[in-house]
Amino acid sequence: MNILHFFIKDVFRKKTRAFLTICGISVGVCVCILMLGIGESIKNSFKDVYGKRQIDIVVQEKDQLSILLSKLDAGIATEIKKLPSVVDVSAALLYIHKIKASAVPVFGWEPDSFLFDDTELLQGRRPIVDKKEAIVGEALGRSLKKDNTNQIKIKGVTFNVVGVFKSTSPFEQYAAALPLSDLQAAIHEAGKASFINVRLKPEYRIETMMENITRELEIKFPFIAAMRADAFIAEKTQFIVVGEQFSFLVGLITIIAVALGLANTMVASAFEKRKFLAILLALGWQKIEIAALFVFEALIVAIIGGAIGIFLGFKGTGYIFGLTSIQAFVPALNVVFVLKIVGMILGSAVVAAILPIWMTLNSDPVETIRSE
Amino acid sequence: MNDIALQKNIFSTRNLRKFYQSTQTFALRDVSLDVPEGEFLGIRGPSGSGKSTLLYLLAGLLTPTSGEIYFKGWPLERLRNKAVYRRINIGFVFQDFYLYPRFTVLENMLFSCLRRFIVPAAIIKKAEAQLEYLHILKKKNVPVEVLSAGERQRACIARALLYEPQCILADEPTGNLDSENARNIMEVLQKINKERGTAILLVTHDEMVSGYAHRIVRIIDGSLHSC
Repeated sequence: MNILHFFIKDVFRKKTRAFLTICGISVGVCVCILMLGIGESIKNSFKDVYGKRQIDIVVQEKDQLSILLSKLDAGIATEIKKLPSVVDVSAALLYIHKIKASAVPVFGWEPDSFLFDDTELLQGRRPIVDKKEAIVGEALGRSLKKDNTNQIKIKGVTFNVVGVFKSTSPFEQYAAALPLSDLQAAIHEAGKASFINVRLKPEYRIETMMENITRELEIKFPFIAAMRADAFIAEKTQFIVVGEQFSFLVGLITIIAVALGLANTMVASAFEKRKFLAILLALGWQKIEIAALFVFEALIVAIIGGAIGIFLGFKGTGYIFGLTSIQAFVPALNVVFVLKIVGMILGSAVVAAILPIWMTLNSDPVETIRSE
Repeated sequence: MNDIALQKNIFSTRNLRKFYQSTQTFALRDVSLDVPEGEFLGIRGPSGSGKSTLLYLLAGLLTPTSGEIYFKGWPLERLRNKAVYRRINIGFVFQDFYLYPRFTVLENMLFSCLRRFIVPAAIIKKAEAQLEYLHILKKKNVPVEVLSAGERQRACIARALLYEPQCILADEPTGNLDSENARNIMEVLQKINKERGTAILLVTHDEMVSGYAHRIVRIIDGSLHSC
């Protein structure tokens, strides 16, 4: 017989109350994970995509806020490749296509570029130039399969899906990629690219050197803006940072609501047990031991609710989103992030338990025992 | 009375007073009482006369307004940890049993051991021995709400006996029992007193207590009267 046996039995003595409290905590934690996790997921995926592809510099049209509006001459890529510090370049065209109600990013990549080389195909093969072929991300592939189709139509041009690729980026999971020239033709942007990815030789991958190269590029090609990939990611994910701050606020409010709900339960529990707690004092318990008993009870409820919430947050939402077109945006399972959530839950449980037990233990035990 | 005389008593009180601020009343006035070790003392008196207050003062759950309390000659006010004092030396038996519902008889007894992560097997054995002594071992795994009133009070006494205290403070232990069960409980307490030498201080309205206690005192309006 151990202490957990008593605690768990005590918590589930009032099954409905325990169930409702655990549900409340689970939903709160799930919301927190959704609010904070999705932003984290998007940010990480950006870093992951650029990091994995070893892209050092991104070139886009000068003074163009959005990469979607950026239009460059794709031929610049060949010029950039001639620079002694550059090992490889790849021009890419980005077009946002509407499939049903969803915005699907469509990438045009050069057929022999590292962008295609570094893309892991889960099934099928690479698209062949001029054959009107495309590959799609895993999530878009599932969506198309659900609709029983193997084609995507871009501005009236039908492309056959010949492969499905894997990506850690939620944007790419619900995206399509086709040969650059095919996309240029389909959207009437012949010879154009939205951005150019540049890989430097290893000896040039030093922050100051990269800064110099970006400046050199901007001098050489006055109509472009060159940025280090990490700065580019930071700029492109700025909206996420703002969103993240808002999400953190909402998450914090949710956790406070969860703590208040738990505190409400603990107040009810402390009131209901006030005689029993006074008896424990009479039986030789110390106040600190009774407080610990109570905190443990709150922790058990919080841990069970938190565990369900974390599961729902990561797996449940993934499943629910999987049924919709926003299936790519599932929270990233990150150990530090989960530990933060767990810390917040446990912290709120301790706070929620301490106040009512403090009030109860500070009342006169004899009065409590005698009261009707 | 000198220190040696005080040490022979399990409890001694000198000019004990308790004033309740909330009701602006004296619950006890100048109570001086000696309870020798192994005594079965009956404390009688009308409701609100201060009987229970005396028990809670002896247990260290209340602090006297003035006067002294000695436990085996040791002033109670000098005890650093009254919780440990209660746990080791005192067993409480209440009129309303105060057993934790949904938990079994054995679990109720072992609640006081929850300070340890795992309840030691020796304590479980000890608890079972007390239940056997009180003839309710068969009910050890029965939830307390299923027990009869008499069985509940036996479970309550078994809980009080777990640490083999030197003294049992019983606050109206027969108050919620019919006469037959009340007699049985009084016999149980008498048996504990005789066989184990445990001092018993029993607060009651019941006339029947006279047949079991060594001595009866009365408290009327907070003042102690010998019978």
